[in-house]
Amino acid sequence: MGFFSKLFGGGSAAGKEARGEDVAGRLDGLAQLDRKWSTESLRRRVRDVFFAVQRSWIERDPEIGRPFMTEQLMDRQKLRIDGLIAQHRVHQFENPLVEDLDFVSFDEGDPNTVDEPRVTTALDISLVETILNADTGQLVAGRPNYKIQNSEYWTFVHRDGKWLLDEVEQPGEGARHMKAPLVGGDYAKLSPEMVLRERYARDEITLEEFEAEMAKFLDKEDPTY
Amino acid sequence: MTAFLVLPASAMALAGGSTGGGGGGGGGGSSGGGFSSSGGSGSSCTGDNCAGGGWIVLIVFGGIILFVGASALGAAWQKARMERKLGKVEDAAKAAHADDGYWDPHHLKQRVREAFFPIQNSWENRSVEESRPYCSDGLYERHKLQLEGLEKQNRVNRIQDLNLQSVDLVRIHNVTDDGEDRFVARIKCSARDWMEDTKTGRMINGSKSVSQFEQFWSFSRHREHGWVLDEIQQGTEGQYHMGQVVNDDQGEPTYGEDQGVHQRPPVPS
Repeated sequence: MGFFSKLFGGGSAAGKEARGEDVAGRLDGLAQLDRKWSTESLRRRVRDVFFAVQRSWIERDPEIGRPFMTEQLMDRQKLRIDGLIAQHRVHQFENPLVEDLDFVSFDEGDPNTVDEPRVTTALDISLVETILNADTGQLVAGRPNYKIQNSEYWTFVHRDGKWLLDEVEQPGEGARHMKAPLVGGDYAKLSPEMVLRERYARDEITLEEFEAEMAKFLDKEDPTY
Repeated sequence: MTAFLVLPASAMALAGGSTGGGGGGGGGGSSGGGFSSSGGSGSSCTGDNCAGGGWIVLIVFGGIILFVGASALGAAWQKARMERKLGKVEDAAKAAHADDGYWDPHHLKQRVREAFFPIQNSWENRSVEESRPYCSDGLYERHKLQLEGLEKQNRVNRIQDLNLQSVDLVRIHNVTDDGEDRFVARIKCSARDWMEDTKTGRMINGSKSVSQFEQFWSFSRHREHGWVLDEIQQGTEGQYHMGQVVNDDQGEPTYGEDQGVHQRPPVPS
């Protein structure tokens, strides 16, 4: 970020970074007990989804994106792609890139209700974007070789053991995620022994497994419990 | 036009993505080298009337010198701090090496260099198989998807005069479960990097001039290939690695302000 953008527009960016660090810390705290919250895994998943969804869009083939998004979003995506085909348009993207990724809100969900675990990321994306006539290849809109920057909020839900894209919002409507209360993950990190105790307390492992694992830690020269 | 719901697919400059022409920071730099304080353009007045003007010139030049000095001092401090951090990462890797036998920092950097060129070549050749021994299963699948997309789009990513300038280990993640072990390297490189239409040979995007790139490459363990590239992050996104603890599994965690923590969770005794 340049000096002047820092001076005049850096406030919101700094706020996003600070919130991103807070949320990432909480998610990594939760990941000590449940790996699905690991920020590193989530970042990889976001990219996997990002590129698959892009490809489905440019090839006008919603099926490419199916494994990566919820049914509801899939239906909307299909509708939009049908629109492109009916209009004889191809939406070309060159050099799309996730320039920055921040976690801005999350919800642990409730297994006893329909409330699913969800996480929202703020993406800064750069790309060259044009719309072509599918029949003639002629440029209809956009500027070739002119890179634009976009910010979007991508929300994922955890369903059937996978993180699926559920919503994409532009900065205006997505800004509410920056103010959503953060509940859960109120600890940044547990030692491996603490995690073991917590998992046992949650009935995720048996007493035998607990003792076997704990014995491994105790063999260490400097156990951290 | 930007109101479309989700973004589509396409080509990437440099493997896994980068910015043709943009890269990591461009020529601005922080050295302040653009100032030449020759002082040759002073006022030409004479006598007492010039006293005020002289002071102004002195203050302006003094301010510039102070600014440049402070910037240089700040840059030097940052550099020293960064070198200390990188030194700590290497020390942590050496310590981990004594346990697992695959953390020698020299070998880790060597592995990054070893992976770098085949992965870039596979990108330009649109031949994902070339990168197989150097990529995790997940990244391999993603690159496959992207390269197939490039082919269908009639695009090829030209990468020329590729120069890997530096590799720094910035983070290691050495945990009990060896399958979860990871390390992150910051790489700086330069290349002429552009996207070409295979039908017309026309440059679609990017630049044929040399651009600078900064990326963070994360490596994980692969049962067959050892250390493999698992993720590429651009300089902006990957900066958080620089602020992370050196080794995520280094003993008693702290609970408190430093980690933005509010309370310790209930744990069975």
